[in-house]
Amino acid sequence: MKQHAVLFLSLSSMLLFACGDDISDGRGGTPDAGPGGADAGADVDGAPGADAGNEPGRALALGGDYNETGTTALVDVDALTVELNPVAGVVGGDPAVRRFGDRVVVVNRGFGGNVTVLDAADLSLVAQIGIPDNAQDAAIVGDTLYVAALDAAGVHVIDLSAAEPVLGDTISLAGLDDVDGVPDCNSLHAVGSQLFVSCGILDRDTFAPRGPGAIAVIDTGDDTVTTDFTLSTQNPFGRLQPYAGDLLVSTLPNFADLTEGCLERITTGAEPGSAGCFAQGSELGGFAAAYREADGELWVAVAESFSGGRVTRHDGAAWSEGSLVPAASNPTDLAVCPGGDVLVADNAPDSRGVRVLAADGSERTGEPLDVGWPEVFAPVNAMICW
Amino acid sequence: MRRLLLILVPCAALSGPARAGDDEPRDAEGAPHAADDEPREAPPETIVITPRPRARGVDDLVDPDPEHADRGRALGDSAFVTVVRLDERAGESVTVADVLARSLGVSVRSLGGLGAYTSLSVRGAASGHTAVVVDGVPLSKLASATQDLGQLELGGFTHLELYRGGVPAGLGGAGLGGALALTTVVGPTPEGAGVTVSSGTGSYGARHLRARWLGGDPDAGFHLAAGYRGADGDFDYFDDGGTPLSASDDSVETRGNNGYDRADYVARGRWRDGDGELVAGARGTWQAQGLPGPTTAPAAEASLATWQQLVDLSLRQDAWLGVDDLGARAGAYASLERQRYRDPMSEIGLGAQDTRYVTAVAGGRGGLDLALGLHRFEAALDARADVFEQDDLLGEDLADSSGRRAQAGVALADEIALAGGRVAVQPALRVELLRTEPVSDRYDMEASTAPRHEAFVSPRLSARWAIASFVALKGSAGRYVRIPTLLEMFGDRGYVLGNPALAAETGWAGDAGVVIAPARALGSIDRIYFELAGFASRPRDPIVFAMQNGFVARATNLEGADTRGLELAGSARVARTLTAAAHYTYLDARHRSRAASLDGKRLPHRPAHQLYGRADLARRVGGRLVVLWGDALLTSGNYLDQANVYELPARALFGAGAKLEVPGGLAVGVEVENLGDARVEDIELSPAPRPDLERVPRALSDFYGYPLPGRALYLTAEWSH
Repeated sequence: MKQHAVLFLSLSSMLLFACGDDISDGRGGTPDAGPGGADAGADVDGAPGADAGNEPGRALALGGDYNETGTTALVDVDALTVELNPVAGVVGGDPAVRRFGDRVVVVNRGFGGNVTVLDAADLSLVAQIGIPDNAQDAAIVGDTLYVAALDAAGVHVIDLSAAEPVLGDTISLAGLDDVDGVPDCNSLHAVGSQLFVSCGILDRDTFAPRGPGAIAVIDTGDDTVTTDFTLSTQNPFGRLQPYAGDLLVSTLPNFADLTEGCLERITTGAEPGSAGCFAQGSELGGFAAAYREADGELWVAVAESFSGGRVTRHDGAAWSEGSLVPAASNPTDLAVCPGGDVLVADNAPDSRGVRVLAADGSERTGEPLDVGWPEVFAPVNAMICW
Repeated sequence: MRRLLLILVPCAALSGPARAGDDEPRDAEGAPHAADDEPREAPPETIVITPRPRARGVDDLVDPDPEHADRGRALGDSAFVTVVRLDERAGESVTVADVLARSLGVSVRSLGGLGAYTSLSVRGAASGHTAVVVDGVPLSKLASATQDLGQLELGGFTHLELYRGGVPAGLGGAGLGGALALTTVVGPTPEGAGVTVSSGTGSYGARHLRARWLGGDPDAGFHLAAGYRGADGDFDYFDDGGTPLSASDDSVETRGNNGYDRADYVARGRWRDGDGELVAGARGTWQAQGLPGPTTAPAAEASLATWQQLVDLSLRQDAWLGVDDLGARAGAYASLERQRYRDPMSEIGLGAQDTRYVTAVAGGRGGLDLALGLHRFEAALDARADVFEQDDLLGEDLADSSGRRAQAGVALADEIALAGGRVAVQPALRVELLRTEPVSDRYDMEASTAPRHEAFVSPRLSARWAIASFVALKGSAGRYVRIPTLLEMFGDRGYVLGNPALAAETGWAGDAGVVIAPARALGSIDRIYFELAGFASRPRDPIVFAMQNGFVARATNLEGADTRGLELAGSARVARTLTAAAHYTYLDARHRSRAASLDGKRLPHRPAHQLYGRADLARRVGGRLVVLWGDALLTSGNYLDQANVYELPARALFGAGAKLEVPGGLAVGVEVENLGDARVEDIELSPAPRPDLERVPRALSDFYGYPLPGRALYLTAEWSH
């Protein structure tokens, strides 16, 4: 009996830690990379934009067992080869990853309790900062690291220029949730000097949404909140990702019905706000677990159930038919490489690994590349490509 | 021929009038045989039984009996069994987990601190594979496959028997991890010491108070006991601040909300009338404990309260229906377990929780055994019904669920005596039928709502060959099964998805070995015992939980694993003063996976080598027994992860203690666990993330985020009358 309770506790915790597990690679526009315009300092993962250079790139694929250990693999996207465990000790059991210029940021959620900054050139350790309240996502603007934590009242600020970076001030977003003062923020994305933060506004007892999700906008110049607004739907569960100069976030109001939410669009600029749903969950056939812009098209990994899904893309006018991955796949994450290739994390028990799709949607890998993801608990599938 | 003679001569010299080394022979349900206190008619192939008085408890260390206490059983039984007589550990603060952690073939993992959750792995099997049987009653596996050893009050039992390989049909028959049988002796001891009162106190607020009364006579005896045990669990531990790669925030913290209080009682009675015997009993435990959570997110308010009640009744009639060689037995039992888990501050789980779990079980069993020529037939029938309910006391609809399982089994066995009784072969077959009623899972759109029906056949073949009176070869092989739990099949209507298609985990397992246990001394060395066993298993469709899209977990079947190993145990006594015992386990448990990165890798948390040794120096000084003891548990490095990237270093834990008899029937004991105060171990990082970070420290722990206590002292005083 107690084991049941313990298991329940553990698994509940895992869910908590895993909220927003689409683990986007946070590809955002930078002066030298990808869409998004002049959002200097935002994360810069291999957009097929200005820096594409027709280089297939290399990818970092992280996994975890939702417990103590994580896995790391480097994928040579050109040769389709994998180097397992290129660096040890930097990944916990529930990792997310972003890249910002020459820095890779691993967010070790849940039990991990830290944010780890690596040098993108050789994956050597730059800094590790303890985050006590369940870090979920990170963004770097200049030398400042911003961290969204699920149990925090706001966004943590860390000065990476310090010799030994430590947890600094917290930009309060408690006003977004006047019931408990903890707005359940799980994603960040910088557009220029504006930092967009998505928050779930959940009941702390049940973790069910109490109302529409909220977006706060922070001026990174003085770390103040300039505005906030509500979304048209509840529970922004996915990650903020750039698309056509705007941002997208997927919502999931009801875990019992994966089609209930939508892929909501957020306008940036001088008057940011919700632009409503870009695509309804019912239109997609499920929850948008991951979504990335590649060469002007929006690629989406759709979770049709808890054990399967498909990959589709929108060319600006319509969604592609069927799925770009085999029917038995369970796509949970996407990453876009500089040369236009798209990586798909496949979580299906019989085909667990990374699939590499060419820009035209054809698969370059016959079988998923084995990147060492554990079987005990399906990996979080944190991927970036650059 | 000459070589054979050379072997037989020393064999004859070593062998003596053998006896049933197990001083409490038991039937399959764990109840004492009717013949406990009288000579049994020995089957022609078994060791001749000549009971003789032997000191019990700590006094046995200096008793003149030259035989190892387990000699008779080890030579006469085809199963490999670890037997622990708990009276021999008087004056020590042992728990079930402590005892098993120092047993052959066993690996124990704890969340840390006295009374904390502790799981058991036997011969590399997952913890859910070991059946736990209390006075013949198998504990429920409906809600959870794994039994928390931390919930079992060792003081309420007198014997602990761990079947490491083949499991007798009467203990449930089929489990890859064997079976743990905890039993209670009823009636007065030979010494007549009927009343025992024990109390103690120690580090981290550990304390206990216990009273036991063994009384009556051989025809009508009883066992009454009640006790309290508790601890604060407030030990210091190393905290890396959640940043293993940064030493700047390392500190030493004190574990909080890690205490427990437990009260229990035992009442058992036995009545004998001619060839008949009736045993009835009741046992109850109440425990309240804090749940400290992982050190990265400590919990101050979370708690778990458990109340367990078990009643059982068994009848045995020898010479049934006037047939001398026909025995009959029957029994019934019922148990109720009620738990309440509270996490009001959402410190551990997802949101605030106040959940009540109730598991109720009722069952019965019956059987016949008949000796006919060279055969000894056994037939057993059992049936039980399990009910599980989970209620969310906060009134939310997330966690309410219930389920039921009806289970019936029949077991047939025949022990065939060959070669004049020197060889015994026992084919056995168990057939099990189950019906499990599902619960609906609001998150699982694919879940079936139809009841699930299953049938399992578990054949087993055991054999024993008594090469000489002090040497036996033995082994067994069979098919085993681990049936999915309700949670695994149907979810919890919360964050665990049901998987109605989940297959039962099955597999083949076998062992073979030799036991050498002479009845006589070799000079000043007696109680010589040596055991060597090899084992292997090949589980199929092992059940594990896997996250689904990062939302929820769901039980699934993996491909499997290959496990093999070796167990070596030996003990002896020198000059009736120094008793030394040691055992070594080699385990090679490897993953079978479709993924090349995982295939063939060692299973996490399964150390390849484990060595344990203990020495007891016992003498009577001025008529009072004085005992000094020390022990050491050495465990090789093992991996934290499936990919074998992170390796835990080897671990060495030492203990020592002393016991002293003082006038007035009083005995006192003092012991120190983790003598070296090991609290931190280094993890090797390769490739290192930075040249100066090839190794990083972490708290000594079995589960990540749950440190183990350092050095601990405990004082015990025990009065017997």
